[in-house]
Amino acid sequence: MLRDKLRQPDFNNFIALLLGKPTSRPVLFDFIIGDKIMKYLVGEENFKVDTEFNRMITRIKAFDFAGYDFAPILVRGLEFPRKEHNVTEVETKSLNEGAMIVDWASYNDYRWPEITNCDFSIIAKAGKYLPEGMKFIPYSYDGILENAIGIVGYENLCLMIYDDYQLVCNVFKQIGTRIEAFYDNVLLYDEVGCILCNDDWGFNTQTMFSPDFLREHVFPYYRRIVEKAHRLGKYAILHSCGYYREIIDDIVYDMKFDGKHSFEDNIVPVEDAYRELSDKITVLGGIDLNFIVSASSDEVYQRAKRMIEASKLKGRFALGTGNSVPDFVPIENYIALMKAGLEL
Amino acid sequence: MILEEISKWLQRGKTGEVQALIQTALAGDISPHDILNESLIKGMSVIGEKFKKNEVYIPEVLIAARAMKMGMEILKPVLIKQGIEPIGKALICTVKGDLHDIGKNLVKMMLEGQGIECIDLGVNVASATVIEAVRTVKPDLVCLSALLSTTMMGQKEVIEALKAANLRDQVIVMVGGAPVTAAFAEAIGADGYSSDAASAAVLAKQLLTEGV
Repeated sequence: MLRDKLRQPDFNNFIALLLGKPTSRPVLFDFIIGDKIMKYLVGEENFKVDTEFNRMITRIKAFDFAGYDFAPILVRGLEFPRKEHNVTEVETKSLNEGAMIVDWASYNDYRWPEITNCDFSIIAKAGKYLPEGMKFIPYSYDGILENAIGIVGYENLCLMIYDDYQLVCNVFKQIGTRIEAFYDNVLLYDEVGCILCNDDWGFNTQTMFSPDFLREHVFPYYRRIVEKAHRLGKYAILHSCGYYREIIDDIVYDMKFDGKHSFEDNIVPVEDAYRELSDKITVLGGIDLNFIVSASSDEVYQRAKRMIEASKLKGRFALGTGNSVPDFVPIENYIALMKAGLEL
Repeated sequence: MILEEISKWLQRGKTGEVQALIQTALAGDISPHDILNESLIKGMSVIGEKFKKNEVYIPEVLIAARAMKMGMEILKPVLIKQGIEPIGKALICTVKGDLHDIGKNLVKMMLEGQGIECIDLGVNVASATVIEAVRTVKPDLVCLSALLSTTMMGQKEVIEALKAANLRDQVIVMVGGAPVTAAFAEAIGADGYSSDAASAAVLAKQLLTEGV
């Protein structure tokens, strides 16, 4: 266990952070933690991932033992079918891979996943294992743009905008309405205090598509999703990788997300992002993943500590990685990062 | 006038118009060298500059590159016939362990847009494959892409393999990709690095014409 036994999960702290109010202690944020580090956090005896439900329970324990105030939860069933990834020895994949919709015929043949495939009751079932003070933050299996790219292929989609715009409109509508329905459902559960919309929108130097295109085909769905969350007294955060400067006002003022996750040193280092954004949105995580992988433990600790100090006055910063905690993160560096946020 | 027209249609990605106007230009005895430089390359340069300033996005680059490719289908045989050579030959790939290809493809399009011939080795390419290709293809430039912090060391591996094979002095090496920085490029001994595809093509042209 990384956290002190006296430090108990407190979702109210996380809410205070999102609202820009003072928190009783530094708040931690991460979204995806790989199995190696989850196993380290919960111990060999508690690490059970043989079923989706056991994986959820293990994740709850891992996030609790690490010192987070929430546990992310993935409700499956809305996976949009893609072609098999056929290079098994390599753990990466291309955004051009997996294209299934290339024309109207393949669009008409495509088997769209139905929202009824999702067993949302798992939230309540897994919720019984939430420690007191902790809430779930559910997320969907990829976001609207990610799924569109996944089933059309990035370059195909780029060309389709000019070759068959109506087909592009239809693809986004099919995906957007389903993702919206997904969040409508998860928001109904008391165990859910906040939702996370995960959708990568940018490369290093610009958004994957023009901001106007995103405004037309992607953002309206998220605007409604966030609006619904707020209407129910809940919160909504965005995990979106890549360049964001031209769309940050959309994120803050149009879609009205309460927090943003994913920052990269090669795009905007979290220190700069915090200076630029913390007056209008909560900055979540942000210590660059590549830095965490390549720096020494002490360097990770020092940088994390400096961010905690820098945000002490204004708040609105949760310590965590810029992206995720994959298995190639050295455990000692993850511990160093967390230590900076856990020590009083 | 017609060269400007071709450039404008290319920037809008209008393949049919580009092809038709190239035919007209050739029939009007405009030199294929001028058509290449003053319309196709010029048009792609405008797109590249706009891309750097985020005035256009990748879809617009792709349709312009497609129009250039289709235009080149008409122009290339005439260029070959007249003995007009590309300004250089580049070997491009994504390194071993990495299947990402968007950045690589974009750089390839931009390089071709600058009049550089490209041989694409694809993704997940082992250093031995690059060495073999350098021996057989004899490129002037080797461009290595990597998208992950776990795969970027593959760029170093290729540079080391080039040194071991006594080929390092024969090629310019450029590296790029999301986690790659200028400092990293320098540390592993690359000759060039750019943060975006359009800048990469400009740098490649500069390195090819002015040397490292």
